[in-house]
Amino acid sequence: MIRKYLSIHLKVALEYKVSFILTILAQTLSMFLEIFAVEALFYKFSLLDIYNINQLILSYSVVWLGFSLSEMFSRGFDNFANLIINGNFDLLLIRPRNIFLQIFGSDICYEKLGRVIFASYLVISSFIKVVESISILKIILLILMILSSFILFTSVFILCAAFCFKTVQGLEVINIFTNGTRTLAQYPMDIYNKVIRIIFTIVIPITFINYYPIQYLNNTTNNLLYLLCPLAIIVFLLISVIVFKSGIKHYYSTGS
Amino acid sequence: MSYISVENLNKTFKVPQRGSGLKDAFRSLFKRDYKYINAVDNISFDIDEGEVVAYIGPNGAGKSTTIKMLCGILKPDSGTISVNGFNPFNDRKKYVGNIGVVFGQKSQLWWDIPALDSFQLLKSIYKISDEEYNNTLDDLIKLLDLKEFLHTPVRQLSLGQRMRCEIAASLLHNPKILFLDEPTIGLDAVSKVQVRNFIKEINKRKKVTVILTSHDMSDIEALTNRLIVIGHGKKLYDGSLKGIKSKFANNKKVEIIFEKLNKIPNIKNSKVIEQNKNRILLEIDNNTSVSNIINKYSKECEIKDVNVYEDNLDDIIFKLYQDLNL
Repeated sequence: MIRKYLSIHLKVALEYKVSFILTILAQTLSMFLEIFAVEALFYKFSLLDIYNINQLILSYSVVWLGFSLSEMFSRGFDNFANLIINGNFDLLLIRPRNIFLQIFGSDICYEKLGRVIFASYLVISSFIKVVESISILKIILLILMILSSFILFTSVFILCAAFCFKTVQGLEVINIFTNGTRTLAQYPMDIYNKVIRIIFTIVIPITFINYYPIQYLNNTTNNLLYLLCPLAIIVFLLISVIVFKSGIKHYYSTGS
Repeated sequence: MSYISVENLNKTFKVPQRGSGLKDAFRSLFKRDYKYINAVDNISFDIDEGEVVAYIGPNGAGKSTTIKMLCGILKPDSGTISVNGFNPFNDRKKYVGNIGVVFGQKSQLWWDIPALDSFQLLKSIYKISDEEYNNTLDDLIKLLDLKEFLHTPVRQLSLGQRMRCEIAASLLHNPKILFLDEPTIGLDAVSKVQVRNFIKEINKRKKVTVILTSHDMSDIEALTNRLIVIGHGKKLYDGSLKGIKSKFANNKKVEIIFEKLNKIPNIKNSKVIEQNKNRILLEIDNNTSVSNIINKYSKECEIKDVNVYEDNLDDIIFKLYQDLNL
């Protein structure tokens, strides 16, 4: 079924070829400009002595990759308000399949492919520069970082989608959580004060996807516990799923 | 216990209220007034396997809400629903494989690609075997005459063609119950008849239980014998089409066309509704014989033509709604 979903969305995207290709190019370009600006800033002000540019880019691009993957595959949750407003959520509920799987399948945004590829390139190239010697453990850690970054943003999307059961209309406020989280998470946590750092450890566990694991990658620490950091995201995912499921009970549907 | 059994079903919606001006809109940001609407108010009914039941009522009566609860989309506030032993909301995943649903105003087809692609997605969602899928699809293509436009993107289909594809999509997995929420809305006469004949056919051949809502009384007359009428969330009538006719259709209209009328004969229980130079329209109750009227009129004039009209279902439902203050 997942394969069918992937192919059907590709067919839809290819119905409008020119628009599809232009969107990919535009989005990749905007991301490129952003990373260019970060790099320029870093050279100008040499933000932190302990962070070199490669660590910064690694931390930054892991977040970007996770976010772009979420935008690509978890679009159904990101745009959940639409699904409710035009009544299509009703149609998902009358199918004998897992509701989460179906929401994932309801929209797959191939236009994010450019960003995903560009971010992957940055992740790999900066990873090679950050670690002095590549080991299997470090590669596993990198994969865990990317996965947990993806899971984190998808969880934020799910949590925000759950609000739609109450409000029906999507809330602009929610963008603070999705885009805001991404923007804040891009930079090393060292530049923020303690309060923000605590929020991003406990409330939205973002430090677990880049800040702590990078300490291990660049040999600042040898503590193997740092390897398990990304797994903390699972707890966040579980909470989102539970909140969403209890939301379905309060679903009011729209239209006739 | 019957196949579908609904007992004391309730659903209340909380609707925010506010005035229309900008001031009120601003005020509602801080303080909201709510109104509670009993969309479904203590409704009970039973339906047997293989029945075709029309579920009707004016707009906003609670038809769609009931259907949504029967499909497992909405959770009832109180009351029980049992369909073939399932509780639709709690056993959703197991239950919905047995039902097909057509919402006249929502499309389950993908807008930008041919209907056949949507069918194949549904095939894997419902885990239909290749053999069953091919047989069912062949059948549906023949019965609904889909062949010509199966490969055309849905956005380029006419409404009638699209609706036929929608119905096919909801039947690919051979459901035992079919819910049709206004299936003929906006269709032309030919498509309507096609859709109706098809519904009759699958009901007869596969013993599919059909529950339909419609505002089109000719749909109902063509398809069902049993009516459930609701209004303001309450059940008002549950019984045969004949029953509702004999209860509310107690008048007939007789139109007589003639060359020249000397005087209007005096007939008991008849009323002149319209009259002009060579035509008269009478309303009589069902007990007055038409031949008696013709007899009396033929003495006063030379009759050229006589037409008798019975109340059609639209008139009856109109009277019913009026009687019940809907």
